[in-house]
Amino acid sequence: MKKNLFLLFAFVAIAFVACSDSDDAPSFVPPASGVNMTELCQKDGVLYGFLSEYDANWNQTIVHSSYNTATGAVAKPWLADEVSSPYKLFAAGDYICITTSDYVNDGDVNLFTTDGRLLTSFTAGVGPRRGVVVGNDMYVLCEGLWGYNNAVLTKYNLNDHTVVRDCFMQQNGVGLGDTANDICVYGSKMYIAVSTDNIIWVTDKEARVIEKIETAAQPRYLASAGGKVYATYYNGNVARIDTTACAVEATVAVGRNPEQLCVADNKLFVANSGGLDYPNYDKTVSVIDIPSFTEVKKIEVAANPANILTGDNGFVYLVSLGNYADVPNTLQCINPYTFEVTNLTESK
Amino acid sequence: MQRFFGAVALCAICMWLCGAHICRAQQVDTLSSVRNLAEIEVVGDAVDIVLSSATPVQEVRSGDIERFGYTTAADALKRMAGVQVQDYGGIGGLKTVSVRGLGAKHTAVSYDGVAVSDAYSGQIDIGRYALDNVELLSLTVGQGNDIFRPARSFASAGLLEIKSRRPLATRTAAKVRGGSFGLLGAVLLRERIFGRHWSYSAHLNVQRADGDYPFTLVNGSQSSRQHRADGDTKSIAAEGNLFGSFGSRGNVQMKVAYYDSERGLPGSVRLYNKENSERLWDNNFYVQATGEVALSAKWRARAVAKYNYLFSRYKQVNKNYSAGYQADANTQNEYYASVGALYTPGGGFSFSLTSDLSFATVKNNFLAGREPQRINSQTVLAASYEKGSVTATASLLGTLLADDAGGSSKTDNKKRLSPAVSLAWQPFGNVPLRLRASYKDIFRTPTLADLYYQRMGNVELKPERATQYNVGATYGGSLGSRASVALSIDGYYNRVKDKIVALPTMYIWRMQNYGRVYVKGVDATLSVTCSPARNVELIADATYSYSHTVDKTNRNSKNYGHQIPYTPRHAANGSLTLNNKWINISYLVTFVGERYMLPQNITENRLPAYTEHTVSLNREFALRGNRLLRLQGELLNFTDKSYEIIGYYPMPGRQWRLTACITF
Repeated sequence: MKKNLFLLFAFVAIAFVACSDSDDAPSFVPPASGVNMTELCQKDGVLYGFLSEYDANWNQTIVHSSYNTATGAVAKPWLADEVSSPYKLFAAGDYICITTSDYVNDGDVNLFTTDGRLLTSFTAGVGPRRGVVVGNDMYVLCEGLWGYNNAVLTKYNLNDHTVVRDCFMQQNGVGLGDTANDICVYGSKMYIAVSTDNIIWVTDKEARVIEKIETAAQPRYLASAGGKVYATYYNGNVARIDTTACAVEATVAVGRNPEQLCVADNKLFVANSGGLDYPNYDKTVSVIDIPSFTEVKKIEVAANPANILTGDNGFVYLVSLGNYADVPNTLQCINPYTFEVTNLTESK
Repeated sequence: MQRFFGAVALCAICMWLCGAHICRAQQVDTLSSVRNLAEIEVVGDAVDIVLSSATPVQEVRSGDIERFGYTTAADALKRMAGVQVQDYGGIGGLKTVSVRGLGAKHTAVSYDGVAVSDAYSGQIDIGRYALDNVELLSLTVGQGNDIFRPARSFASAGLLEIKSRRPLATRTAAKVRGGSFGLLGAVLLRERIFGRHWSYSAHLNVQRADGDYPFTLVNGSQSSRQHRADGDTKSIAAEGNLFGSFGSRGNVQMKVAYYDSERGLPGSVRLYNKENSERLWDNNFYVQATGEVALSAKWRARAVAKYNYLFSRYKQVNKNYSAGYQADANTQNEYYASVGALYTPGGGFSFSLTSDLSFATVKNNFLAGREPQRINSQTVLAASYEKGSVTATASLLGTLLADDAGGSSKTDNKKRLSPAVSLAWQPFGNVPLRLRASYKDIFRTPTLADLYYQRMGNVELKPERATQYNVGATYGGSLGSRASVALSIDGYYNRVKDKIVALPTMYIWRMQNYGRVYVKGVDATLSVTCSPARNVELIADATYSYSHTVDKTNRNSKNYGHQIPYTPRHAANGSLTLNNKWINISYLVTFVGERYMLPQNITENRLPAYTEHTVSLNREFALRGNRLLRLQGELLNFTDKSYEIIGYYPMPGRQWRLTACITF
């Protein structure tokens, strides 16, 4: 029955795509088979993610899967067992990077090609979360351990493989702070959200501080569009930062404990996790109209949405984390024009 | 808040009632207290237990507490060899004790012979135990010489015993204390002897502090002077004791105690964000009774009973929560009883059999499932031989633990046998040199929070095992007619297996049995007392500890073979006291070598070594009408050293404390 429902969804989705007549309108191709992943990232129209499964003893087995949003091809597993204690996954430059962390010791960043070949790895700091490539350097943001003020920004040179641990400290003589969460590059600047310290650092591309924005709440994730940078606040808001003034100029209320956000069709899509309200998680994605900076819609999705990104086809892909026990992860696709939600995960 | 003042008022009324009654009694007959003195059983050993024990014992007596101006058990324990007091800073900051790299939950605390327990968190805040009415504080590592005690006293790797003072005469004492960072406290004590065999004591201790001390925050190349906020604390402790002493025929002791506190939890210091709003309320009430009776010349029996009520509430105000705050409330009830018998057939042999049973329930809004319950049955069979130059003990503790939280979260019952043996030998006749060796295999059970805390708890947890070996020597004797010396040196090896730790899975932390720690170390203590002239006494104490405490869990881990967090390789203490008829002066110094705040021994995680100096002065004045006034002052950390015991929990700099106590 559930499988039939899924096929029906898939059919409706295909029908929708088939009906759209404009050539440059984005097309949605459902995965060839049900796909489930977390720690979503995208490169060249292909989504990559971890697929976590827990056994009865809560030992974790992780395989890495991919889903080509253009062709619908699903590869599973993409990699297996090459990285122990995998933590985060991100695409940066030509690489798919898998970081490792046991939360207390320094973690590594492993650089893979898109076809799953391990190229190299280096040690970054405690909890490497996300990396960005600027010229020949990859900056890796490490969150550190809560309460230890040991978030670091580590610089890795992709040509000569040199590693500068905590280049932020080296450039500025002060630390990033406690629990860094996200980094983005936009225009000539980098933006670093440091959660527990309520700070968004604005730096140049050498990590020299231009501005320290003290935020009214814990900043979590960042996105950029139209000359502005947007940040989710864990207290249920999204802030708009003017990139010239380097200051928060407006905020808008969204759902509970928002995590990632992305931009599609001149709108912001914000994953409202409600993560602090276990077991009563939030199950909405807020849609914010960018020109008016107002919430225009709350889309109902699977419980505890967290990872969200805009595919190269213009559609929004979303991972909800469930309750880490009997409610599993779910991958969903949101049509940014109709707000229609398609479930891409095969129900068990 | 209201409850706090309610309690103050209630206790004040109680004190007034007892006081009125006592004053009348006092007028009747001052000689009776002198006569009754003879009836009091003198507790104490012919040979100092610190020297004669087959396992390491360190003691702090009331005299030491007074000369150094210690106010809490944490102050005293900090100066002991092989002991780590984890201090989160300030007067209200949590303080836990761990011994020889074993982790705080391996050290049990017993108060007047009955173990203090917290089945939910397993964590005992030793900062809570004021020393104003304490006679003796002793720390035993491994299994001590005394085999006739509740089975719970056998059930941990280390045992901190706190003994309150028994009334020796009818007296009243009032004490006020003031100090840096808004410290204000008052203690009222009433002790009375009545009848031939009975005495009681009543004790009230009220304290408050702002705890807003300055500290230096270092951020890379910058450093700034800041104030610790939200470290305020207020507490009230009241206690009543009834003692019955019937010489060699037996004794009884009953205690009623109440404790209430409210404190801010300042949290770890962050580089940029000063906002923090966490508070903790604790409330504890218990009654306990112990009785010992001689059934015949060879048989003695003992019974212990206790009811314990614990309540704590934690609140964090934070807009991230949809309610605007998070509040945890935790209520525990525990019923405990112990019965035992001692058989002394002669020939130096003694045998004891003691059985303890406890039943604990926990109600917590963050526990999965129903209210968990724990039934713990512990039985110990022990033997000792003490004759001539040899003391030997052997014990076997059997534990049966059954936890239940109903529903699917069923845990297996845990059964375990834990042996311990020890031997002390004085090989050269009257030369006061003793050799000792001991072994103990023990474990700590997973707490109810470890098992059932929502999402994090793991019902599959096994106990965490600790194996201890110790060899050592003690020497104690006089050096000429004017001086005496006591020294001890012990080498030890401990192994911890199936360590209970929180480990991250992909998104959440889970409690798991993971980890192996090997500990090799040396503890040495030295104490010299001499009186170079009439009315002048000089006391010098020193301790040194070496501890190689390394993680041996996973060869591929980046911290394999590294010293575990917050465990210095080297630590030392020294003190010098000059007692004379004008003013008594003590100087204390503590050195703690470098440590790491996280498992990996890298520069980023290093906490530098520190040395802390304290000086204490006191003098007693005899006033008219047999009144005694004692003035005491301390200057703590007088070099104003900035240091941390726990990373980003700064300790206070220079502080003063003044205490005046009047006794009549």
